[in-house]
Amino acid sequence: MLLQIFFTFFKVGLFTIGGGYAMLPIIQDAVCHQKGWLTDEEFLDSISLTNSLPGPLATNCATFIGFRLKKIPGSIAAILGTISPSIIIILLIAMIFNTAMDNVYVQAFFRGVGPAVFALIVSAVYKLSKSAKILEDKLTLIVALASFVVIGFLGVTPILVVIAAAVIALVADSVRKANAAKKEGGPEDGSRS
Amino acid sequence: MDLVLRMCLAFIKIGAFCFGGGYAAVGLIENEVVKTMGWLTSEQYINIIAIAEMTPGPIAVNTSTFAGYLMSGPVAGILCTLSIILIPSCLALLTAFFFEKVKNNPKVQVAVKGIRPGAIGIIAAAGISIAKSGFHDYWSALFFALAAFIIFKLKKSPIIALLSCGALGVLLYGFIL
Repeated sequence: MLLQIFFTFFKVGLFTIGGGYAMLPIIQDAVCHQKGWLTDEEFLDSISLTNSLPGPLATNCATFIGFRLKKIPGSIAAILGTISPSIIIILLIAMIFNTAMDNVYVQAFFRGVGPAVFALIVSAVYKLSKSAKILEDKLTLIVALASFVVIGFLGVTPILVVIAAAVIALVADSVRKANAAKKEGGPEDGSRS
Repeated sequence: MDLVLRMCLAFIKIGAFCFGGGYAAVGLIENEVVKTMGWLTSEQYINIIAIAEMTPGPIAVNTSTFAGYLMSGPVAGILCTLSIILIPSCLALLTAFFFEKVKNNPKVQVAVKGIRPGAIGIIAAAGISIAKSGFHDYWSALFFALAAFIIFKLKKSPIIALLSCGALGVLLYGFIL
């Protein structure tokens, strides 16, 4: 069973290019439809839960599903399965990377790729801004802009920004709830926690 | 302190704060490894991102393995990868363990949603140094425009954009200029 878990996630890791969200339908197909280990609903639950965790979605999801199947050994098998193809492929490329970079054509290739990587960053910012509905909520927009400025120009550590953003969201949420309660004509402490 | 140990600690820290998908990890690793510690140059890091995107597997995992390898060899590559997923995996285990209790915790949802704009800032900030070392000459603007056209207009995968720009790069810098 552990070997089966390992190889199922190994296949998922091997065949998904683009990472994260691209992996989800493939994990779902492998785990729910081919193996029948989880129902679709259980799978969606596992995504919505692991989605709120830090770190790569694919390994978090693998940890979660592995645990439901075979406790901690299952988790470890699933994690190792997910990351092994990446590690093997990247190490093979990395080994020849420095030698390859001495070649003028390889250099020319990466000279062309540099600006495209910037385009990928722009696209990641754009996609995340869209899913966070940045233009519809003033506070979200301000936090995003302020994060950009303090990290990019003032050298503040991103970790502080992550903590501050979470605190701001929690404070703003309780203020909003307090205001809503006032408008309804009286505090309803029982309903908010 | 031993370099590999310091790298592991850095990647454990990055993993703990890496909310908002693969590119948030790309941004955090850039900040720590390139900007703060100076373990890799910005040029090296751009190539790492390109290869991490073009190969199978999660971008955060690919980037960690590659960065670790270039900093200190294959063992460091594996250790950096295990380090970045250490805390997230422990949290995922806890989540699986206390499944019913955390299922619908509104406070967690609010905090996680609130971190998203912060993650946007982290990625955008990493974009500054990536733009600075990714743009070599006036031609770079053309490559950027091509990549943006492929991603935003044609809605093709980023891999097509990277490969097209690379091929055009070989043609332009390798044969014409």
